[in-house]
Amino acid sequence: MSAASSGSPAAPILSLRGVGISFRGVRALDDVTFDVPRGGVTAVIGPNGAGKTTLFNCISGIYRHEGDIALAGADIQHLRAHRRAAAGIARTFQTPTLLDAESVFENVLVGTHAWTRTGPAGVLLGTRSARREEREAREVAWERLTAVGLAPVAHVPAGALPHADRRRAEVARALASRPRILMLDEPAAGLSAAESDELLELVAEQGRATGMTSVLVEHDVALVMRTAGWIAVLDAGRLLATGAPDAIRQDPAVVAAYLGTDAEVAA
Amino acid sequence: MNHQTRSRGTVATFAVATAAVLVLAGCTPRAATGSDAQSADDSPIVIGASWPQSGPLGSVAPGLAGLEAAIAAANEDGGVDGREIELVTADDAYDPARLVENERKFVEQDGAIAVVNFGGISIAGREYLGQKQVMGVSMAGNSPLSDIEAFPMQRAFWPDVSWEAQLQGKWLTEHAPDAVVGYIGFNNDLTESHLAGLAAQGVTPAQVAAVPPGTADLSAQVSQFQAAGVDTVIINIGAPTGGATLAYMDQIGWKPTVFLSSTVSDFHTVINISGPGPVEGAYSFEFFKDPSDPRYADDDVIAQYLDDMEASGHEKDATNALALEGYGLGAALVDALSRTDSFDSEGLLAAWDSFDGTENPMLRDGITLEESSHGRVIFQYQLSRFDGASWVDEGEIEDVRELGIVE
Amino acid sequence: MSAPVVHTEPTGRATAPDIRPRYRTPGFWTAVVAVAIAVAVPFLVSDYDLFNLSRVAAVAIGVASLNLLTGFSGQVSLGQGATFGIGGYAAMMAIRYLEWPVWVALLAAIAVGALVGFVIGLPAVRMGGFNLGLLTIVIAALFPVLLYRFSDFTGGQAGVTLAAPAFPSPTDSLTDAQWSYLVVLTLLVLTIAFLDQLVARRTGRALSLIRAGRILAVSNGVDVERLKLQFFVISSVLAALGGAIFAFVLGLVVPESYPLVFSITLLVASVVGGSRSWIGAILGAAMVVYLPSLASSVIPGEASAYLAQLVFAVVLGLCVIVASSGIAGAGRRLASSIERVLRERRATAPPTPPSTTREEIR
Ligand SMILES: Nc1ncnc2c1ncn2[C@@H]1O[C@H](COP(=O)(O)OP(=O)(O)OP(=O)(O)O)[C@@H](O)[C@H]1O
Ligand SMILES: [Mg+2]
Repeated sequence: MSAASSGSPAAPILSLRGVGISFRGVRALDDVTFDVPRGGVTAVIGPNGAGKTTLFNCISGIYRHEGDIALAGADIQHLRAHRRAAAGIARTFQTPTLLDAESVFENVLVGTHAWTRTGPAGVLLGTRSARREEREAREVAWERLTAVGLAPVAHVPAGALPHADRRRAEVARALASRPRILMLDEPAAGLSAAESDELLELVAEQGRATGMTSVLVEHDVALVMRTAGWIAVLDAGRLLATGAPDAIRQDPAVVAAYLGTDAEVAA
Repeated sequence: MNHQTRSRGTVATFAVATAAVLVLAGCTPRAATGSDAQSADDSPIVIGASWPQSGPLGSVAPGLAGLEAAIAAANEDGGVDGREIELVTADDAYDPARLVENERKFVEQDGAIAVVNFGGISIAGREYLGQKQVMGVSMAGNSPLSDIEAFPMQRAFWPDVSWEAQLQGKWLTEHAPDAVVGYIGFNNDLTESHLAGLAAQGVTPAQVAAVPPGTADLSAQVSQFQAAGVDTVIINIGAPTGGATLAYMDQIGWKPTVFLSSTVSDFHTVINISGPGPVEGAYSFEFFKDPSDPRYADDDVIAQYLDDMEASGHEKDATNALALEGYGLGAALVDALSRTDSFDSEGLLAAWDSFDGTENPMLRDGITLEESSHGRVIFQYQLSRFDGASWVDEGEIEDVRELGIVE
Repeated sequence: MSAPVVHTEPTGRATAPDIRPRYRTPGFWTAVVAVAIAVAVPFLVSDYDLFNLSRVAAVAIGVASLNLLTGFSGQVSLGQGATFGIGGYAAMMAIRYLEWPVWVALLAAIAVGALVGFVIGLPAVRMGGFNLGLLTIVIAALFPVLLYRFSDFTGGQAGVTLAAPAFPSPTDSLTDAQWSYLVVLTLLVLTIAFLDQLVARRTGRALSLIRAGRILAVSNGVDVERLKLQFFVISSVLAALGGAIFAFVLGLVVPESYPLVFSITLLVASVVGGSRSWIGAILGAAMVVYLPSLASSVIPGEASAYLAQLVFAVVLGLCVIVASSGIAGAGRRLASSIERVLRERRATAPPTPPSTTREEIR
């Protein structure tokens, strides 16, 4: 491991130990071991096909994988995906995925599924606790919707939203799940610089308010350097380096594999 | 509520109301149904006929054509006691659920005093007819229809299939006690009834092939029969199976003794399919005439039947024996109606149960409709043998009541 | 709209949309009108029509159970007709051989439906898609064969009949047919109210997620397998209930009523009526009940069966091509466009943000 791996906080929110996965012989991730510090924004960067999205899929339990993953010290690798979501792992998708026929509000509301508990019987009987929980869910969803600025289009079918708003809706949905970890897969793609700054600032603010940790996959290196407090670099399924932005920027292996010697990076 | 959703609600409510009005328009108003319409003295006597006109047994549809021709002819002659007979018909596609649906319509909507249908599925309607006290007549020979104790409103027209089976069994024990018998029939209760009849005369087929309607290739079963040393084959299965099997047996040069059950021995069901050659020498205990059989070319009754078929627009079905049998059933109903005291189910049933040497256009010469027993009205058979062109009588008419087969 | 201002107070409202009470939804009032008309019907039409309408209502429960499965939980079953038949046999045999009262027999059908749903559902939920289709088709094809095979038990071709009407009228002022219709109508209304409530709120959202895709659903914390199994079982229970009621209305169960084609017919009825709509289930059921006899009255004879199939196929084709949400969906869309025209004519103020309960009765 690279020299940059120092200064990691003592109690990580997420620790990965030897995470690996193969797709028909292709080693998409191999022995990935690092910690995500609690709070703030951690970025995962790397060239196309490095395994960043695959890593998200392993963490959220979509794929069965090798190795161990612990959330706030508790092992979660045996948990199925929906249990991990309930444990506080939320995510957005590289291609925003919404319920196109449903309203934007409804799309945000579905995010509350992770922490609400009412089962079909409760819904059916409309018990008092079910009603209370429903009200609370709607308030949370509305609050997140307002925070991302989509309240004026709350009733519009999600399918009619422009791309930038689809990203916002996804983020609002993920936030509505009251996550401990929010994984954002290229949230800035397709957004203007001002728009992506706004969105990430919003996420950061949410993190400060709730203690939520954000994990960011992003190709816009300047944005990553501005936003992230901690960075992990993947290349061809292997962890190349982890560290603070300054250390990563100067890591020769990272420069060689991914960053190059761009003027922008230097700036 | 804002006006957007309100107007949508209005539209939806309006749509529901419109749909309801449309549905109601297709229904019959309560007041106009059934028994009320019955009372007037000159109102028609309604009989319902639920018959397979499509589906697996769509081939029996000509039976209904014959029934219609007989009723039309009776109406042409002034009806019964000045009353017209109205025959309402419906297709049941040989689906018991549709049969019951049709019976409900006949009874509850049309005010029918009797319901006629073709076959084995009429068992499904017995319970309902019993509840409504409406007479049911089925053409079929299935043994369960003989259970008039449990279902006093149900009658059947053809004799019980097991009786003919007993005649076959009796003939075999007398003429070929060492026969090794193979049986070919439908995979339903008809086969059970038939085997029960044979067993009653001590005949147990060595081989039984029970196949679904419509089966054409029985070559596997036939070679099994041959391998088992079968020398007598009893066939009780409709088109195309019987004809195809006889043709195949002829083709491979296998010539066992053949018994055809009467209801599947006619030209349409068998001989036209196999050709006359393969049927030559076959036996059958017959009770009805076949309008396709050349021996009836000069028969007056058949000529009248053909005229009536033509007059009612059914000439294309006229050569089918099933049409003549439907015609015979219609004639029997008309006869019963002409003798009834009251034009209701009770009256008709009483008249139906008291035939007495009554002639019927479908019956062989010398065979008549008799006083009902076991819900049946035909008890006589004429053993016949196919001479290559025509069915020819062998010996005397036999009566199952006299033979102790029916007490 | 492409660049909304992120941190400003939105126009419109500042709080979450209310949960609108059901009696304030237009769908509710449409349903009230429909039920009011349906309750008046037995005093207007003949007993025979009531018998047919009762059959429609019973089949509608079966179609609605399929809507729940296909339209809401995103699963497919080509064997619902068999489950419908199993419910019918369970109830009829409970009455005929065990001499249980009708209502207990209905409960027996429900229990058997749950069992069948669980046994088929366990592997089915794991399979999904094409394999699930195959599994259910095999069950649908086997069912009538088994009925014949165990004819000592099932009555074979003759089936099982009722010796007396299942729902005899308790009063002289109503005929059996009127009473039976009202009972069946009540059961249908209860079923639809149950279903409508079942797919609401949190459960409804989970179902939306499942339909949108497994990954999206599990990422939002939905236990897809569990929910699908639950809905498979509930769907089977309702199919069995519908089948039992159908058998009671007919007074009869026979194998011939439940061929594979019947299962497929139910599926077509669900698609044609609109698999996300409860009214659509009733429309689809009406087609199942009325089309065959309508077809044979238009062209009698062998061709009628083909005419019914042709009409079915054409309507199905139309649904697939132009109205993917079925007749009910097309009607809803028509209502929306009428409403749009009305709104444009009135040229009123822009609409306020909506309440977000489901706005249509389904
Ligand atoms: N479900 C899958 N089946 C087969 N191969 C896969 C699958 N998912 C990912 N891969 C492969 O794993 C490798 C990593 O893919 P992944 O999508 O994780 O990369 P990424 O770092 O997210 O790339 P990008 O920046 O383009 O999004 C690629 O070679 C990809 O083809
Ligand atoms: Mg990716």
